[in-house]
Amino acid sequence: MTTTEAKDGLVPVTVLTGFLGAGKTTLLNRILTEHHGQRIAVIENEFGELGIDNELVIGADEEVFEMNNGCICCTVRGDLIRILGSLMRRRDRFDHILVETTGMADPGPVIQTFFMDDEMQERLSLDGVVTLVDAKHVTQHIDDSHECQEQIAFADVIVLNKVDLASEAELDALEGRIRSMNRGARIHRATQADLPIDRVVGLQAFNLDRVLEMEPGLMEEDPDDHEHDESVTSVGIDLLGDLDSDRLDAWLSELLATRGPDIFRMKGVLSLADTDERFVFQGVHMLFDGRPDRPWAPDEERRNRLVFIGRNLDRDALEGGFRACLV
Amino acid sequence: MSLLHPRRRIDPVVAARLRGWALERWTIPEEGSVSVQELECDKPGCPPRETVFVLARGPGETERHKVLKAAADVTRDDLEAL
Repeated sequence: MTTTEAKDGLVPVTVLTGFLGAGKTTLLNRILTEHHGQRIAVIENEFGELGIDNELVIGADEEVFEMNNGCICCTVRGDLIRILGSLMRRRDRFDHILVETTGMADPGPVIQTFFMDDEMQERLSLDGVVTLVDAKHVTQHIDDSHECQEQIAFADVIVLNKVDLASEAELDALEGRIRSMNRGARIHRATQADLPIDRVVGLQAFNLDRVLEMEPGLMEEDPDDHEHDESVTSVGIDLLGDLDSDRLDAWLSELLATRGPDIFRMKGVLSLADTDERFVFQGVHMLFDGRPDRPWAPDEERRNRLVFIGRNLDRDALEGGFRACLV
Repeated sequence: MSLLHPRRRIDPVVAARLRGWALERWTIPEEGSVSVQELECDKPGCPPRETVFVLARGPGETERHKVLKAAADVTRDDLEAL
């Protein structure tokens, strides 16, 4: 049995995304029909409410609206606020929630809905974003479809599906391309979305305690990054030293205010000069969530490690701005 | 607004009170939901805090109302005036 229940009794929520025909429905059906011991409520882009083998499946309408003021520009999903509110009144009927988006959906508003709403944060825990990628056909969209790029950029797990239709060389090239866009995601290869359920649920990817459990190589600079300046890339920063809190706060605030729409996700651990505790953070667009973590160990290097995933990221500007915050 | 300090959350007691008032002020079907959120801003000309009520009544029926005050300061009269 896969245990997906989050800490503190929060209900874990998995966001399942992927371009048209990538295999979302196939994976969803596997998750719903396999004997894993979890009762999963599904919010999908279909009308109606029906039960499949005692599962709860609710239709959503992907209604997006903005929550803006002078400082924050944030897009959330009104239908999710409604459906999740209603679903939580039937809390005894499920252990896990899965939100399936349409093939053309931007995952950002789904994630931001969880970050924005206090009540949701008290009852639900965003477990992770799983993106299905059609290994054979994604190359037709990956260069020019913002939706396709953003689905990859937001992912914690990428299921490279239909690998039986592509050659090993094609798969390696595609995996390299995806890794340059999102170094933080785990990539699993699959045929007919057949992979163990614990690869896609129980990730706890948005848990601040696990911010640093990044993939190997996350911080390594890709020599080809500059060739994709207009596209989606990851920028990792790894610097020793302590940070001036005021300068960092000012820099980050300005960065998110001006570049927030282009920054899909960020996360990291920081060494602030005025505290003995590590500071962990993550963010989605302009929404930032951070807190002090455990104390630095006496023999531990006070190292700042962070990663940005976004569009049109300027590695030199990001690293220069961050470096200027060091004391 | 400091990013390095935890985001200010609405006191759950205050949030429950505001949701209760919202349910009395507006007609929300049983399958609908009310979300109360507080936005913070330090830019000149912006209210430092505003409280936003998101009324999600049904498919395609989501609306927002704002009170330009912190959530703890919002009164029932503020909602009636919306």
